[in-house]
Amino acid sequence: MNLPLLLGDIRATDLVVVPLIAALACALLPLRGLARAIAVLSGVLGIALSLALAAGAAPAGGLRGEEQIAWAPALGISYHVGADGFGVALLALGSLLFSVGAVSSGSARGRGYFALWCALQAAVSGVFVAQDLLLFFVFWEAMLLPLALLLWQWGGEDRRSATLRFVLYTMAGSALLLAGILALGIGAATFDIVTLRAHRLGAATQTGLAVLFLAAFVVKLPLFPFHAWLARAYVAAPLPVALVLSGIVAKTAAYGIIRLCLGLFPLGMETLAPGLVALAAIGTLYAALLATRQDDTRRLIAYSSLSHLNLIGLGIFAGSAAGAQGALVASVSHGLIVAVLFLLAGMLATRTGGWDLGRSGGLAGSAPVLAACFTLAVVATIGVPGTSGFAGEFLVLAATYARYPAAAALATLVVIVAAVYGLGLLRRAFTGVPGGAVPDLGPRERALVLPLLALILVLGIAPRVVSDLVPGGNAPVHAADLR
Amino acid sequence: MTLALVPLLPLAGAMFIALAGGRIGRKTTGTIGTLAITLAFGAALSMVVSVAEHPRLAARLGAWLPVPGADLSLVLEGAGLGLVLMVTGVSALIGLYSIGYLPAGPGAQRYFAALDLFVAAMLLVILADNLVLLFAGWELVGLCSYLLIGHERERPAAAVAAQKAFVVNRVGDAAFLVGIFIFAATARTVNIGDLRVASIEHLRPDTVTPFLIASALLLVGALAKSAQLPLHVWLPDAMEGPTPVSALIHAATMVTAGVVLLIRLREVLAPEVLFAASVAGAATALFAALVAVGQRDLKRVLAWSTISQVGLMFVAAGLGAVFAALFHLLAHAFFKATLFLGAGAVIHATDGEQDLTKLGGLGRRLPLTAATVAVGALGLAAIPPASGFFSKEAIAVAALDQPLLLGAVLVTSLLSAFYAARLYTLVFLAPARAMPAIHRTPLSMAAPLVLVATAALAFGGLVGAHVLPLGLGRESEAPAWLLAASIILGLGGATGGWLTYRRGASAAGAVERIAARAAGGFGVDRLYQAALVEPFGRIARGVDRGVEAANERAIDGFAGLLVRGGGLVQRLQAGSVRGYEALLLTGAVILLAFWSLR
Repeated sequence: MNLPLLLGDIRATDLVVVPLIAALACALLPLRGLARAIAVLSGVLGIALSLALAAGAAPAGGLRGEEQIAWAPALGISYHVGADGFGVALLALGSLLFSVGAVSSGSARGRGYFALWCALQAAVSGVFVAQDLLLFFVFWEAMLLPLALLLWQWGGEDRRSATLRFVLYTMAGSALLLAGILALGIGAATFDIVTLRAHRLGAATQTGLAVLFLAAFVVKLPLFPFHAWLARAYVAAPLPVALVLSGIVAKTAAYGIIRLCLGLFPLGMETLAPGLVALAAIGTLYAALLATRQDDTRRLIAYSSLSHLNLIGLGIFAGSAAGAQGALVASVSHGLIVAVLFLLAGMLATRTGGWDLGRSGGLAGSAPVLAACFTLAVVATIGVPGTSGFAGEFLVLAATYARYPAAAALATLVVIVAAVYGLGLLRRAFTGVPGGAVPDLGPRERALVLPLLALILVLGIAPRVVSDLVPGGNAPVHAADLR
Repeated sequence: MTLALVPLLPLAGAMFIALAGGRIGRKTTGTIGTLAITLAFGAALSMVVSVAEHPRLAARLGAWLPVPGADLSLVLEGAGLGLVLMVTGVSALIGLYSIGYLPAGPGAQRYFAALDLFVAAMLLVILADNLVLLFAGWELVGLCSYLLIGHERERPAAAVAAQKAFVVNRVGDAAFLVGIFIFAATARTVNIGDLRVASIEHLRPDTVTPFLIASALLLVGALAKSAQLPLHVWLPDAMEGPTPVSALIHAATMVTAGVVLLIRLREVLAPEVLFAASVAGAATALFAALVAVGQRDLKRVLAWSTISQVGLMFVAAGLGAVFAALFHLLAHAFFKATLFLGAGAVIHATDGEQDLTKLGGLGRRLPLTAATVAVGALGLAAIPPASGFFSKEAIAVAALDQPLLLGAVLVTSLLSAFYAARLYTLVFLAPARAMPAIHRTPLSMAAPLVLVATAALAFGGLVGAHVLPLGLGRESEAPAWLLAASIILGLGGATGGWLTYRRGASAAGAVERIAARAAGGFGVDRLYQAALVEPFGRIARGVDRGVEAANERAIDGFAGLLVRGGGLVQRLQAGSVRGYEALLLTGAVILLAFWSLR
């Protein structure tokens, strides 16, 4: 294997190759206890690679670490990879979450688990770098297998039926995506995304293809009301899997909508936008409302997460560069926040012996650091300024308002409902008369959580680190096509 | 860059205390926390000369959000310096007081970190040069009030009150946010200076309505933050926090934020909305004064009096009398801080007794506290020479052209004098009750109390006599008849209160019974519980059990359909590959259909 960091010339491919090698190492070599270390290393290398990619100025075509190898020229298929601004930011986030998730996985999980874990990382990274539609689809489908197996094999009580739902629902969407890809690629005689972006289709064709592509993305995100798999999958999944499922796998859908739907079918998306924007605005509020009803911390986080994912969708469907930019900031922010929330919920559960909020209460006295970290995480979730949560939420809502004022105003009500579920969680877990003393966060737990919390604050003060990777502006994306 | 230091010093104090953990003791924590605010006060003081030369100072710390104008930039102009000096000065005294007041225990770290952040956030509201940064301070003020009201975490009532305060504030914040979106979309900037220009010079027919709606939404935010009708319900419950926190929220760092907003945005907001602010303020002033008369809890009297007094500030600010609004804001800060710190001294001395009917005769046993509370009560009653007299006079002058508003101001004055006298009489003058041993007030509590009382006594006269400028142009002076009327109302109300309650609450007879009817706040809380909180819960439950459950059943049905339709069940259990093939086939069919339709 080459050492891209030392060689200096980093290719987007390396972000797929590194975790793939790690997956093979975990699967084939008799490593035992070392498997987790390899998975962590794979994540850390991914962080380094994506940051190095992001650090350099974007080349003329906008794709960093670009590479194209002819594969089936007659069919217009090639191995074309490279990361745009959205891709590079999400690659960094994904690598971070995969390394954090690997650390929190517990070394007892065994080689199989970590092999699948690294394979999932490779597939997710592949989605963010693929610049050929068929390649994109291969990576897109490659995410499903390790995810399903991790859920099926290492999940909790409800894992079998949760996996079945998740797989069936996702594959139904994927089938339509494949149909769309084949129709577009064969019709245009190329599957190259960069070429296709310059290739303009008629408005009706764009709308039809956008629907087929969206089928896969709205299930994976998931957009209201295509989310029925979500809560059970999050609850049944092992905690680190739930963490990456929500933190980064959902973002592959957000990325797909931006890169493919908005990029290839701007007119079609503009036609569909009113309905999609309405669904996303309703979903933002709907999920937050459900979160106020949950007693299980995982379900509460799941619905809170669903609310944020719909808000991300709202920004994208608004159809302006500013909306997509806000969605990117919100995506990175949500990834960090949901990771901290799941980690802290796990730490809380190990102390109270379960996920039921009714079991805890009054824990602030004996576990002040846990309470403080949880408070900060919730404050970020509900979008208080100074945290990344506010930056993402504000940018999305402001951009949406510029084009769809009523939907933005409706979605803004989420700040009230979020306060109800967020502060309700803190109140039930930490205030009141303590039932018994629990140990506070240990040094290893702090080492896992505190850097993520610090990042949430840094991104809250300096969101431009992320937002400047992509263009802004309130002009509609489809405007270029109308001229 | 001195300007940047003003909010950054308390922010640094908060971060240092938060990160230092439990490694430093209560006294050290408190000293650092107070010192950070004092240094900010010093930095502001050092700017007095430069402000006299440059009426507008700006400092840019960097870019923030990719929205035009949404930078980390500060501006000091107009009313700014007076507000900054008051906020830092009063907060520093409250910090010092808290060192002696707080019980020993691990809570000091949380307390002082939140206190410093609170001050930094309020300074941001005063100094931010754009609406988004102002909103950041605005929300952080709400967050800090949440943290401090719920400071005593083992008490469920405190946790509930803290959550209520934040959620009610968030109702206003949601409106505020949409208001910002409208300004950003219409004027293409969120910079306050540019918005002033936009609203004055470029107000076109197509921007009048958006500006009106945005102004109204910002007013909703101001009503929530400043505890004005109909969003006042969180403030009386906020009494669950430690008493110095009440002093902070009521005097320096929170409820006046709405008035600051109206003063700062007076050229931006639509005139109709400003007038609505006056009307809401007048209604609130009168309503809250009535409710205050009937309160039995020492701190609740003061809480309702704040709602009422801030209402008077809204009257002035809405009428464009920004000098009067600012003057009363500052005067009120001093006398309300005096009253709360004095109340804290009473509560500290009596082991937590707050019931007015159980207190009494403390005048001789706590002479220093009695003297300082007397200064505060005179301010509340607006009796000369206390500050409150001069500032309330300025508000009455502003309302001279509006008979209804003027009437509300004058009746509120009468009621304020009455309940101020009632409070003072019941605590210090009425016959003593059997009470446990009285604790002496430590110096760290007595010194700030005396200092803030001195400010409350002297400030109004100094401004009234034109010795202190406030950075804003003065409105006209009061006519003689109004001065006479005000003094008569103040003295009359106070005498009435003293005569009624000098033998204790039980001897007050009919007055107390009538007042007690108002004490419940006219059922607004119960109305909200029935009309908003419970329906919200029912809707959430309905969505959970109805819509969401149906949606989950639908996907199960879909899964069942696939399983039954293709006899797929065994193959699915054997591995997902087969099912996948089937779906690929489905995809191909759709693809063919798509092509044939093209």
